[in-house]
Amino acid sequence: MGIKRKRLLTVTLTVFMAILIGINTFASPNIPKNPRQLFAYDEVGILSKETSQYINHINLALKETGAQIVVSVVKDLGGYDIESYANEMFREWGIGDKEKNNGVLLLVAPDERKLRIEVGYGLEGAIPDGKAGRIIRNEITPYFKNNQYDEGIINGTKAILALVQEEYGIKIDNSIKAEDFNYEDSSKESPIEILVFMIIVFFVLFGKGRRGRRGRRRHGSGYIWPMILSNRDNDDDDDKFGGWGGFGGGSGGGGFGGGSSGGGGASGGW
Amino acid sequence: MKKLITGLVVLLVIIFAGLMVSYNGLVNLDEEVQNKWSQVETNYQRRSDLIPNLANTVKGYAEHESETFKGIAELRSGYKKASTPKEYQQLDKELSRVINIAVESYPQLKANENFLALQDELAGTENRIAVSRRDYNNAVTIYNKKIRRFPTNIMAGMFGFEKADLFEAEKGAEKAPEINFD
Repeated sequence: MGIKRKRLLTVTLTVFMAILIGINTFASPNIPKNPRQLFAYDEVGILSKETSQYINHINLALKETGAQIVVSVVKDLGGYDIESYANEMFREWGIGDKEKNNGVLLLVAPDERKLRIEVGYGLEGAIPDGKAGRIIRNEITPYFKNNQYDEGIINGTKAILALVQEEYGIKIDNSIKAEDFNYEDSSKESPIEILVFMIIVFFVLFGKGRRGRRGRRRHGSGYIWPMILSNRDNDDDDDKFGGWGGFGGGSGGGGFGGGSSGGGGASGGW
Repeated sequence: MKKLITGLVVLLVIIFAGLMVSYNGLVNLDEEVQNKWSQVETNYQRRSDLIPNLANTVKGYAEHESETFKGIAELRSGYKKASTPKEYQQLDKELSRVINIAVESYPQLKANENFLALQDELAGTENRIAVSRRDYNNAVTIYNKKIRRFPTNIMAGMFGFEKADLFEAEKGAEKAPEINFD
């Protein structure tokens, strides 16, 4: 716990310093190109094939919403702090839809033992900084501390996906729900807050043009893979993956949408 | 004679069109600067809004008379009044100090999810401020270059487009607050 706190306050300190020093001319870090626009970008080789495929598939499934969840594992941060590096990478690659800015970047620098979840403007409601921090603390770094990098990443990705699913009211991976992950505050809400919340929900449900609902009608025929995922059983992967042969080669990248981030999200270390 | 007049008219139209484009370009850049500035202000506001959360999170632990609580109350009124970068920098130092005191006095805070989430929010807000200041400075640089270059500078002068200010470091601001945590 001592290390976690130190890390968090080191982050705060770093950012405070950045402001105090007043970065006018910002020298940019050298961001790797990722020419094939891979959603699972790995310079170090810690992602399993399974994890990479999972990441690719959820992004394909998310295509209609424009949302993109990119996982990037880099060898080093070039001397930059992870906040600047992540923001720069997010913007250079252009993650998420250009208009909606609904991208998420999970950046891991294993050699420097740092990671960050950078969230685009459009998803800051679904993934506020506190939840991003919780995902890092509860779903990712416990695995990283045991050198289980692949497990940590896939778990974190699922936690992020759970929130994105909720935001758009769609089911991509039936095996995960937001309730599975511990995002909730332990604080008790006052009656006023609950009342206000209910009023808002009322208007949202009965208002016009709620964007989330659009996603529902699409999941009918030909959607083999949510079914496969819900039956998913870790020992049996060869059979299940066989059915996706068609996705294999060229679909590793799908084209980033050109979205941007304003610096939201959270950082962590282990 | 007619040809000459026609030629002159065409020339005038072209010049006018050029001026229009130039003027509109300046307007766009100026708007961009304004837009980025409001983003900075929004982020400062966001930080002010988080201070009451800090108070709530600590409430279960700290007494009213405690240094922690008094520190937070001062921060609240401070953030309400602050407007210049210098004032904010002062408050930032205060904020670090108060958080340090809180954690020292009530170590259980470290295990409190709300407190940790609040730390994330504060760090996130600071990051957003840094990013939006960078974006603002970039917009200002582009705008300033444009209005200083010839011949746009004539147009700029005529219509009152003035140089915008960059965010700059305050003297002595290079010393960041010491956060001692163990």
